Amino acid sequence: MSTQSVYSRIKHRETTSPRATLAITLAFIIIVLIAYAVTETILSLVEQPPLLANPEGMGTALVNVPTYLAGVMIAVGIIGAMIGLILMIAAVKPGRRARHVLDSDRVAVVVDDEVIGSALARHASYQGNIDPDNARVSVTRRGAVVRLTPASGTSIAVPAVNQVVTEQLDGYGLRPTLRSKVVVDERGKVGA
Amino acid sequence: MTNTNRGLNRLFIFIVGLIVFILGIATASTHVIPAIRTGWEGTAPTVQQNIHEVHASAMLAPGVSWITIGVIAVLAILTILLVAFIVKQGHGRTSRLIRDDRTDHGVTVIDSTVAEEALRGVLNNRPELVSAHVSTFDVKGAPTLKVSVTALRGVSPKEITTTVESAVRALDALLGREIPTYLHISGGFRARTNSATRLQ
Repeated sequence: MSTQSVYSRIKHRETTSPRATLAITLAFIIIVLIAYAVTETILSLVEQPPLLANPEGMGTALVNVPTYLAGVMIAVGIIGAMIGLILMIAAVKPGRRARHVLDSDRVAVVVDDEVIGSALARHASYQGNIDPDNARVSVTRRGAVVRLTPASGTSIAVPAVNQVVTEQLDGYGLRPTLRSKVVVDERGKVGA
Repeated sequence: MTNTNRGLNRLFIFIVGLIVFILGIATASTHVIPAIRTGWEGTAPTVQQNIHEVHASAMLAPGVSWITIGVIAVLAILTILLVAFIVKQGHGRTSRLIRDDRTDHGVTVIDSTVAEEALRGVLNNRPELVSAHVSTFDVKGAPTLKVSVTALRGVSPKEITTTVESAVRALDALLGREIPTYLHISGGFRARTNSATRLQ
């Protein structure tokens, strides 16, 4: 495989979830259920008392489903259907992680969104002359929102901060590109 | 980086979801839709009766049916498949970086630890990085280096990329060829140093 195709494979796989945790959890639950079913079957084979119900009793319980309390069965059924639906959606969705690809001509780079956020927060807070703790950045797939809390009694020059943030983002070369927005809180904070 | 079969994971989750969904709908509908209720009441006892008869007709010993043995065997096979499915997740590491047999005199093999140690040695001394880990994976037959670094809070990812690029280029010069390299930058807010000093 050429380096380029290796890189595009890595970039795709590292920005999407393998769903391994969910798949392993489900497989484990099914294994536990099977182990229980086998245990009950063997207990009934050697004519020992069942843990909860023997296979015969389970079959009868299934036959009797229409005689159970309607409200409970409907609730159980709907909860089950919802869980099933959520699993199916989780299987079909692209499963994007909060990560971005960064341009480089030698290595394939994938950066966590929180790293982008903290770098933007640092530059924005320096430009706005506030403590880095008073700059909060939320990074989504296509946008970054910078929220600044000014020190009470001072103002922040939004255009200058905006320019710094835009310059930073342009310099990173992220894929997909981010559009930035700078918001300054109306209420300041003492000593911010 | 791993060779986890993601399509299989998706398919597995979807099938389990579909089964749970159908069971849920079926349970609720026995109480919501009268036709299904009467259908169930009419059919289920007969089915149970038939299963009884099949069971009784395939007796191995008194009280032990071939059917029971078969069910246990099928469940055991299913368990083995599920365990294999779990164990197969997240593999793909390799310990060999380069194997060169172009010369007449022999084969050159370079272990991946050579590249890993070289990069680690450079990157762990960088002040803007909290930590750096290097490992080697086999990506579709191509040995590929994975460099995962944790950045200090506020460090620009571009700066880190430049640092790692130059380290990798130095390695290229050392090995005489370019090894595909993947860089993952994590950290940010979690990896903060001590609190800022105020000078005023």
